[in-house]
Amino acid sequence: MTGAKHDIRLGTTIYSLTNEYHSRRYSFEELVQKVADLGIGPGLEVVGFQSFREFPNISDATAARFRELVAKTGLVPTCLGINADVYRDRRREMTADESVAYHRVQLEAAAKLGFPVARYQWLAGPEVIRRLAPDAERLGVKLGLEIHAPQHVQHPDVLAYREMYAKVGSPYLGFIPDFGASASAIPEAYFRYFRWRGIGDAAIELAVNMWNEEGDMFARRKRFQETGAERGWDPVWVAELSIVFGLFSRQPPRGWLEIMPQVVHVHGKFYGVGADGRDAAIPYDEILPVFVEGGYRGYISSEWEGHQVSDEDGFEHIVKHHALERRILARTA
Amino acid sequence: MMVDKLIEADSLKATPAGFSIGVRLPWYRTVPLSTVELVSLKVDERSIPANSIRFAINGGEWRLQQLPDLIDQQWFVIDTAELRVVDDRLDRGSEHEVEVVLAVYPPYIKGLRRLLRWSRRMKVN
Repeated sequence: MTGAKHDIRLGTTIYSLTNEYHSRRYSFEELVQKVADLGIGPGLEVVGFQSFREFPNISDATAARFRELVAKTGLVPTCLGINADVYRDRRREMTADESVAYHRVQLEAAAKLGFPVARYQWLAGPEVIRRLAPDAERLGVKLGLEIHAPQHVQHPDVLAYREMYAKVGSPYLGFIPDFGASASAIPEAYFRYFRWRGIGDAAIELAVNMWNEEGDMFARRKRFQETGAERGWDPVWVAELSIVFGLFSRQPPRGWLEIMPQVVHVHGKFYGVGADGRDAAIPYDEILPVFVEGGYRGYISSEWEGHQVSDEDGFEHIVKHHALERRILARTA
Repeated sequence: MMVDKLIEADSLKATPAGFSIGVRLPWYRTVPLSTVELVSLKVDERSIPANSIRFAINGGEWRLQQLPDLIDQQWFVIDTAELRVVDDRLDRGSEHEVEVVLAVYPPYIKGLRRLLRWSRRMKVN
């Protein structure tokens, strides 16, 4: 990118390759190697609870093996996905003390594996993250809140973090935009899946209509589920359709500018690049120039989530996604 | 996708007490067993009573109503769990339609109960 006006680098999250891994066609190490071979790094993002059996603990042997893999492939560890499992016991929410301890172990795992950023989730709560800021500084690992649909930069849950960040003022606290929060439509792959599952048109139509309404997405999801129950729809249908409310929201792309100086990593969520070189659900032509304009310096992990509803080859999707990103970045620079 | 992988292919086996089948975690990451619920198991449309099913993984075996307590038992994402059933009606070599309904409560998503149902025709090994 010599001479370019931006410093945006590409990468892949291994999460995109969930099906390749879940089906046991590839081991974790083989996935990482193939990411390197296909040139869809150099950024390498990993979900701790997906790729490491002992997670949230990481043994010395596991850390050494991972670091060797990184050295061998030449990839660059960018972000470790950690989880706010506050409903590990689904009968009660973790206390703040338990959650601090649970997150601290994962943050230590990130440091041990060599990741500069840990992606965390909003259920952690601003108070728990505030208490972890000194650990993040001690370990040299930034804590990035993933801003994921149905939330967005102006969502009350996100605003609570923005206020806390302003008070604490630590460079180790930041944000990770997920482009599913600035989607323009529900991806076509989901409709193909719903029809293949035998879900009725009326149920699909109601879900889409409610998705297109304004107002809090969690409230709309609840209303959809109540309506489905009233109409006596199969609970499996209602559960399947409910996922659209949690995956895609419609924040205008320029909204990301509000938090741009605090962005520590990016999830380039996508569902499929069509023959026209675009993702029909995520407006990359609008989103990426916003990150260039905002001066974002760092990695975008290609995050193909179509694996939820198809068995298509994740690697092929990412190769196309990198081409899409390069085309737009070259034009914007 | 996960739904059609819920029941492991060719996993129906005769055991001294009855039969067992292999089930896969329909999620992208490891979760504690406390967040997994076996909603129902049917063989040829016959419901198997919950008290004759044991959930086996990590070298252990539990009754279904114990699952919510198993906060420290992980279901690693690529491991197969076994449903062990006390039953005297399946003959080796016979074919049956097995249906599993399973729910996962992802511990980091408030209020989500991911509910999946799948069935598969298998021969008893």
